Amino acid sequence: MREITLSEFERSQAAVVEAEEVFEMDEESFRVFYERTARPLCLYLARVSGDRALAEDLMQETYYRFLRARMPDLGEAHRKNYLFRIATNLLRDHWRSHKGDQGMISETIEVPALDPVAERVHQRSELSYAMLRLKPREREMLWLAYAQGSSHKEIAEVLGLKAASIRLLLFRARRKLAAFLRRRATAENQREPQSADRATP
Amino acid sequence: MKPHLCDQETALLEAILAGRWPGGCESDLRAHVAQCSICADVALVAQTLHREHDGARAVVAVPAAGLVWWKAQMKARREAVKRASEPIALVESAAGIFGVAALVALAIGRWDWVCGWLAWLKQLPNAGAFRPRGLWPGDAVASFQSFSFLIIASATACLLLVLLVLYFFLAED
Repeated sequence: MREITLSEFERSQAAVVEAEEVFEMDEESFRVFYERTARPLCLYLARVSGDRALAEDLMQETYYRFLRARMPDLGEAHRKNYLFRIATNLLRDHWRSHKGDQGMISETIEVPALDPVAERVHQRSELSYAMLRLKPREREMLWLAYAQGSSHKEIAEVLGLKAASIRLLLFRARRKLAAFLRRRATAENQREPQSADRATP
Repeated sequence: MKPHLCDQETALLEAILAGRWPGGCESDLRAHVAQCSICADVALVAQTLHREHDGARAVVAVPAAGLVWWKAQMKARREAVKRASEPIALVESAAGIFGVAALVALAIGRWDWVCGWLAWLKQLPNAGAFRPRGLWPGDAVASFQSFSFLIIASATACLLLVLLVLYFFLAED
């Protein structure tokens, strides 16, 4: 095995120091920021990707890139938008490298069951099914607008779009999701009386 | 009015996000939503997504902040060490390549020397100085009949050793 020379060792030590200085935030500030953003970010990634494991991987990478980024003094809201923008870009990179897989798997997707109440789980899988029928950008937009309550300006910042175009894009995505949800609800209602008929002797 | 706009949309969304829909809202807004297709879509989608978000947020498990911080630091260190050792690896590779190139150039430039050495190596087993006959008693000499084989074997071993060292040297890079 190759021996490490003294200069090499010194260089490595310098690299370690450099790595510690490379983050813009100190650990305490990060902890506060993380507590505020980790859950919404995790849910955003999980709902948009439809894959909980992928969401967890991307979450770590998102925070790493966020910590490495040289940011001017941004306010809390802008920092959060910046974090979500990194996450969105990472998701898009993932889809680009796994061409064809944009999380748009309809029936086979495994939906993470977070709530033990059966009815809630059922509702959740209905929503997941409907969400995964949409295009990734539509999912991103709808989640940000209606789950997190982000403004059009914030959505534009996260998705890298013009704020003026958000309203129309949101309208189309919303109409699509509403139609899916209604269709699923109608199908479910039709199935219920049939199964009830079968159950009665 | 544009077909995708409704004046009441914002008020409705605010009510849903604040958890005031439908019970805590004015009857006018409820009556409007019952008639307006845009607001009906907003109510259905926003209510579904917001309820999902609130329910999941309470139970979703995320790694501890300290763990994420530590992993990020480890990654930054690995990248910094890699960045710092890149020039060293580059110089080592260059030195190896130049060394081999210099040897090849020397061999080509001084081919007559190489031929001379090869001829000398060929004659070496027959040289008197290396014949053990004069150094050892008669019986022992018989076992050294294949002395030339020993020299060839040692030269081959040396060559293999050099190749092995070269392999490890390049593999490290």
